[in-house]
Amino acid sequence: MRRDAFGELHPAVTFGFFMCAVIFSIIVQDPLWTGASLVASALCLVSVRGRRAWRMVAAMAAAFVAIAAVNALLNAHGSTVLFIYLGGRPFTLEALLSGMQTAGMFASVMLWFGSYAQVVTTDRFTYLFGNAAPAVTLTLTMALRLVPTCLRRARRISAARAGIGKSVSAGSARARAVSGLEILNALTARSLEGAIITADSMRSRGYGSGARTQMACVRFSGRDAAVTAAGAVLFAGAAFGIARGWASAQFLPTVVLAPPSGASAVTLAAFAGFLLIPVIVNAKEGSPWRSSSSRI
Amino acid sequence: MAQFIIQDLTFTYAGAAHSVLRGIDLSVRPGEFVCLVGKSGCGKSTLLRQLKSVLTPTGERTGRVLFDGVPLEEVGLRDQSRLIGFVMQDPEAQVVTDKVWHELAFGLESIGCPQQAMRVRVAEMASFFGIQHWFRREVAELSGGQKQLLNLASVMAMQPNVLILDEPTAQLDPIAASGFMEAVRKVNRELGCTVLIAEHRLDEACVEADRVVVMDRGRVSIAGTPREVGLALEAAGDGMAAALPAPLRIFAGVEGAQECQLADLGDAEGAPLSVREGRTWLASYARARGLAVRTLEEEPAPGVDAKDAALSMEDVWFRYHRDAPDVLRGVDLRVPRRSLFALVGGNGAGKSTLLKTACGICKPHRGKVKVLGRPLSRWKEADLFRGGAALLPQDPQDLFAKRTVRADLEEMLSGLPADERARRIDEVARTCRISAQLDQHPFDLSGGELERAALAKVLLCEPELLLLDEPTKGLDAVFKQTLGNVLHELMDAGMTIVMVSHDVEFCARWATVAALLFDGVVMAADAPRAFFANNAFYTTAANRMSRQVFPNAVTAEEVVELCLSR
Repeated sequence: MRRDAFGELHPAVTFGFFMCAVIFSIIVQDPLWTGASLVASALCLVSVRGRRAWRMVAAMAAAFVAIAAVNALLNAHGSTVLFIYLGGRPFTLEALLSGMQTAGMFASVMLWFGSYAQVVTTDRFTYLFGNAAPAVTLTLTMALRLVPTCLRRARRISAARAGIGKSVSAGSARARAVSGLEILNALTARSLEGAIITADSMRSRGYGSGARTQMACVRFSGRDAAVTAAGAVLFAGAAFGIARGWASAQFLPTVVLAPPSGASAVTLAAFAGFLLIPVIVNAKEGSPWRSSSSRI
Repeated sequence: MAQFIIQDLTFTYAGAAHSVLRGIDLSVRPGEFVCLVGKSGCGKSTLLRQLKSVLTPTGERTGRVLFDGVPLEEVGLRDQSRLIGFVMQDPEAQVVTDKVWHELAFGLESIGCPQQAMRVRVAEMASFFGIQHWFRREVAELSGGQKQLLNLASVMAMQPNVLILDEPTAQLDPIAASGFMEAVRKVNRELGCTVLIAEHRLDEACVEADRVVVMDRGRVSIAGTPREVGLALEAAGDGMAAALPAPLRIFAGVEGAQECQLADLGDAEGAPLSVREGRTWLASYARARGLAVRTLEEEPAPGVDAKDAALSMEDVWFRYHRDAPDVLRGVDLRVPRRSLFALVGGNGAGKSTLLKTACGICKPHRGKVKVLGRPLSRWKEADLFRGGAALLPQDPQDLFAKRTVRADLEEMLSGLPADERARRIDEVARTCRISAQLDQHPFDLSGGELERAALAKVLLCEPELLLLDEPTKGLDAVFKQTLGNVLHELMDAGMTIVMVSHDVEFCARWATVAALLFDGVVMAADAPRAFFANNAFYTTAANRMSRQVFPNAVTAEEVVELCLSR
C-alpha cells in the first residue's frame, strides 16, 4: 500500500497549500515561473499518486501542445513572423510564447487539482468546513455518496432486467430506449424509497435535535507546524517577488520580461521551493523506508 | 421499574379503515431480550415505531407508552435519540455518510457530543464490534452484513439503554445474519442493554431470547419463554410453527415426548431447542421406546443424458475481469427436465454467477452451456427470453418501477391486445397468489408478496427453464410454504426450475435434485435425501439431530413419522 506523508498532514495545511499553489499558478506570467509551477505540479502529482499519475501527466502534456498551437494559430498579433500559412496568415513567435504561457497555466492548475483530489478527500474537506457550515458539509457528504450508490444500483437493475429479456443491449433502438427509461424509472423509485429510510435513520440518531459537533480524525502536530513555518517563509519570498513584478510578463506585440537580477532569482527559488513542499515532504518520509527495505 | 410499559395501545394509520394495533399491553424489563414475532403485516414494525417518537407514523393513537416511567412524548428529542437505539431493515439506506468512521460518529455529532468524548466512544465501539480494521474504509466497499453491523455499531456508539431492531437480518444471507445476531446478543449480554427485536427467522433469535411475544393481526396472541411459545404455536397448529427450530417441532409432534424430557428441567423447559439438546432427547426417547435404527427408502439419483437436460454445462469457466480470479472453475452440471434443482453453497461460491451464465448474461471464457438442448450461442436473445429461460434476481425490487404491480406486469406483454393482457395477468396472478395485490404499489408489498409478484413478472416470459436466485431471502415461514407450493405446481406443469439458495431447510423440503457448489465447482448432485444425509453441515437441523437413529430422515415431519411408526 502506498503511503502519502504529505496527505497525512493536517487538512488545513494541505488545503492551504493547494489554494496558494493554484493562485500562484494563475497569477505568474513569466515563462520561468510558469515553467517552475508546471514542473512542480507534475512532480507533486507523481509523488502523491504514484504510477497512476502518468496518465494524467501525459494527457496534460497533450493539452499543453494543443492549446499552445491553437492559440498561436488564432492569434495573429506579434512582431516576429516565423512563417506564413493559409495564404497570408502570419504565425508569430510572440503568439506561440503567449499560447505556451496560457497552456502552461492551464495544465499546471489542472495538475494541482489532480493532486488536490487525491490529498484533500471529502472527509478532510468536510472536517475543515464542518464547524462553519455543518448542514452544507453534511449535504455535500451525502450528495457525494449518492452518485456511486446510484451507479451501483443502476448496474444491478440493468442486470436484473437482462434476466427477463429486457436488456439495454438487445432489440430495436426503440425497445432499447424504452428499456433504458425503465431503468431510470426504477432507479428513481428506489432512490426515493431509500431517501425516506435515510431520513428516518438520521432523525432517529438525533439529527436536527440541536447544535451539532464535529468528529475529527486529525490533529495539528509538530510536523504540521514545521511544514507551515517553512511554507510561510517560502511563501513570503515568492509573494515578494510577485509583488515587485518579477513574475510579470508581456507577450504581445513584443515580449517584455522583467530584467533578471540576483534578487529575482532568489524569489523564483522561493517560489519553486514552496511548490515543491509536497514532493520534499514525501521524499523525506520515504527515504528511510527505501534504504531500509533495500537492505532487507 | 420496567423500561418500557405499553398500556392498551391502539393505532390506526391516517386514512386507514382498520387499526393496525389493537389494545397492546406489554412491559419490558431493563436488560431483557425480547423477541417479537409474527407474520408479515401483523403490526410488529408499527409497534416498534411507537417506541421512538420521531419514527412514529402519523395516525390516531390511544393508550400510553411509558419510558422509564415517563410518558414517551415527554422525553426530549435528544434524550430519545441517545437512550433509544433503533436499527432498521435496509442495511444500505440507513447509512448516512460515506466513511465508516464518520458513520460511527454521526449520532454523536448530532447530539452535540464534545470532541474528546466522541473520539473515545467511537474507538470503543469500533473495537467492541471488531470493525476497527475497516475504520477508514468507504462505506460503499462494505458487504451487506458489514453495513448492518456498522449500523448497529453507530447506534451503540450513543450508548443507548434500549436497542430496538426491526427485522435487521431480513436482507442478509444466513451466515451474515447469524454473525449479526451474535453481535446483538453480545450487546445484551456484555453491555446489559435491553433488546427488543422483531424477527421472522424464529430459530435464530428465539433460542437466546428471554421472552418471545407472538403478534397476530395487531394483538399479542402468545407471550412466554421460547419453549412455551414454541409448544403453544405447535399445539395451535399455527402456520408460524413451521419456522420453529426443528428439535422443538419434532418434540411437539411426537406423542409421549414429555416422558423423556431433558434431565432436571421442568415442564415446557424440558423441550429441546438446539440440535445438541435434540440429539440427547431423541437418544433417550429411542431407548425408552426401543426404536431401532432405520433408514428411509432412497429414490435413485436421476441420471440425465446431455441431450435430455434442460440445462447442461460442460467445463464452464468464468471471471468478471481479465485480471480477476475465476468465479466458476470448470462447472459440470446437468439439470433433468421437469425437476426442481437446488444448488446450495456459501457466500462467494459463485451461485448467482452460475445462474447468470446459464442465461447468457455472463459469457464464459471456456466451456459449453446448453439451454433446452441448444447451445447458448445458437439462441437469439429475444427467443431465449421468450419461452426459453428467465432469471428471478436476488432482489425482487429491482424488477419494479411502476405505480402498480399490474402496470409492471403489463410491461412484459406489450404488443398484445388489452383483453389478452388482462387474461394473462389474471392467470399468472392466480398462480403466484397475488391477485389481491395487483393494484397496490410494488414497494408497499411485504417481502413475500413482492417475491411472488416478481416471480409473476418472470413467468410472463413463459420460460421452460426458470432460474431463481435466493428466492426465500427475507420470507417468513408461511410465505415459504406458499412459494414451495407454487414452484411445485409450475414443475408439474412442465417447467424446469433451478434455484440457488442458502436456505438448506427449504431446499430439503421442496427440491427434487440437490447439489453443492463450492469454490466455483459443482461438488455433488444427487437426490435430496441421499445428498443431505451425506452432508454433515449442509443439511437440515432435523437430519443433524436425528442422524444417529434415522440416518437419512431430512425433514422434521419425516422424523416425527419415524418416531411414531415402529
